[in-house]
Amino acid sequence: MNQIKLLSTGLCVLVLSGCGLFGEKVEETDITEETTQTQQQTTPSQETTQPTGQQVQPQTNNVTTNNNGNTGQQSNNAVTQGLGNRPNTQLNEIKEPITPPTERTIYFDFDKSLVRSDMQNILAKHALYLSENPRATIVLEGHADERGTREYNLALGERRARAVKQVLILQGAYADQIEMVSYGEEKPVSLSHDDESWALNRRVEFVYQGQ
Amino acid sequence: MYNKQYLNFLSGLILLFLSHSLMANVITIEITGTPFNPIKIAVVPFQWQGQNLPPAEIASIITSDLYRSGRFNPIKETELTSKPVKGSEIVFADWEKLDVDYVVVGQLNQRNSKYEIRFELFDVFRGEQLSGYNIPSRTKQLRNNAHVISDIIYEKITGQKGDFATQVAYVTAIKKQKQLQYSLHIADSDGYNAQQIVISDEPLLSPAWSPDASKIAYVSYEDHRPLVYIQETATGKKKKVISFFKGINGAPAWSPDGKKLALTLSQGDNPDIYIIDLANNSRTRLTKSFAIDTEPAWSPDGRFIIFTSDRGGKPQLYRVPSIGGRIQRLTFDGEYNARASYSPNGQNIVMVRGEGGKFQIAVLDLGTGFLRILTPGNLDESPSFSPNGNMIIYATENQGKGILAAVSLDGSVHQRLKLQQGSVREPVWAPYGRSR
Repeated sequence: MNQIKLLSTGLCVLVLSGCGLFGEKVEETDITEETTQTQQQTTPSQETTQPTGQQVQPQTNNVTTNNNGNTGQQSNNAVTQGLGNRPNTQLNEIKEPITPPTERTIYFDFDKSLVRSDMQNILAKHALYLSENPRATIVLEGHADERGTREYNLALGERRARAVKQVLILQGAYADQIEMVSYGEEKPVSLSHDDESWALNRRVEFVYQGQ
Repeated sequence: MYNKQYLNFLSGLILLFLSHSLMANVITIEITGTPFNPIKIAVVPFQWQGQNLPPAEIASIITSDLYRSGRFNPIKETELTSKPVKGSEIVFADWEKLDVDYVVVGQLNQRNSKYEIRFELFDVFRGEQLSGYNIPSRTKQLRNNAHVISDIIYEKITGQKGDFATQVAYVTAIKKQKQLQYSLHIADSDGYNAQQIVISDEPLLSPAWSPDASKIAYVSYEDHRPLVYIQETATGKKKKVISFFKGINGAPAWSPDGKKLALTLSQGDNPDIYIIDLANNSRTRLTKSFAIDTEPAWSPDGRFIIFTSDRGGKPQLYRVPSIGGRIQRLTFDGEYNARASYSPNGQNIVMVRGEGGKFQIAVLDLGTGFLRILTPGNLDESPSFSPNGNMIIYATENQGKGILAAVSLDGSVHQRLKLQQGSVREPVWAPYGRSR
């Protein structure tokens, strides 16, 4: 019985102090206005309140403390109560990691390695990401459809990867961020033998490293 | 009780037998077409002297061999009017009536755990024996020895060396879960007795036999990039040929003396043709262009390299002296001519020809400049001459699957080898080399 009590009080404590402990929760609630328990406020607020809510950063245990539990001072004539310093509002920034663009494949015409105009936009996003994240590295995987000979397609896949690499560099990526490997027609994404499959298989894939 | 056990033992044996023959039947062979000027021959079913069923149908193996060469038209078993098993039993007049030029008779005899194949070949018109041998065989050797008999018959009648008792290598890709699994196999020239020599989760391609048939060079992605390896077929030992360069290391081709490899290196830029001396790894660059240069192949005399290049805008065939020099364009006709190789006599080259969205196997006669399309397919590739130059094996598509096919040089007889599972590609016919 005692143990249960102890446990439950323990739990209570945990719950009370908890919201900080389990602070990954993105709860932007705690605009903790310091509320006064009593009637008269004699001291005007000394600080301008900061407007924002509490920001919780992922994966850190931010315990938001309402500090200064102060006690009132009393005299005979007038009752004053000090509110203590208004607590600073702590701003913990939420920052999602910057991730590479989500579209990671561009497609080509048969026996061509020219980057199509409808693929330029995707390419530009990757170039921007690479230039802004110089530590990011990428492998460009060149592929071909099954038509034509295997070794020629191996060369064609590499030429496609090279064409993409050149555009990325022109648009601000660094050469040492980019590796290339051609798989020719050896790793198709679609195994059917029709125009639709071939169009899907003629591609360069952007494979970011360390992800 | 004893009897019952004995029966169980027997039925076990029969099952073993069945499963063995099922295993041997992982491929189906379809032969179609009519030879242009066929030699008419009768291969009489070999008499079986032994227990249970014969372990191999020697006569039908020989019949298939001769038929698929495109040079023979073996008569059907149902058309036979007699079934002699020895020379002394042949009545030549009967065979003249059937309009048959040659007769093959024989026996398969069991000798304890071994066998003996006996065969004789006769010229019907002359009424005389042309050849005859008694060949002791273990079970595993039976099919190959049947091919050896086909070779003897072929050479006796045509004057040209037979190549049925040779091997082919090819690559398969089998879907395992969501991934393809790649393997390199060696099999008899008719697709039987396949054995796996490399297996990988990453692509394998471009197998190439050394001239003595003891090694295979191939491209493997086991290091996550294309590198060339050489593997001894007997021991399985392998080594990397080139590992210093970025980009493509591909398209290996052995020089006729087996001392050099021609290959494609891109070093991250435009791929070009190089020759590597295998003794000291020194390399000679043969091409330098802003285009794709790849798929080198040696002329049988070792003087020239033919290769594929799109320097003219589209893939076409070119030729360069193997010591370097002036590059000459060989094909002008068609949208896509690639992956050529020489016939053993150096007179023809076989290639993949793309036209109107169809990729087919074609042969170019270097003397006359005449180009002949040999296959009907849409996605035919990887042609490879048989060692005597009379047949070409290639990869084609059947019901969405890659299969192997062969065609006689004159295009008259076609053969398809269907494997039960997976997709087959890139067959290469082994040179005569050593025999097994």
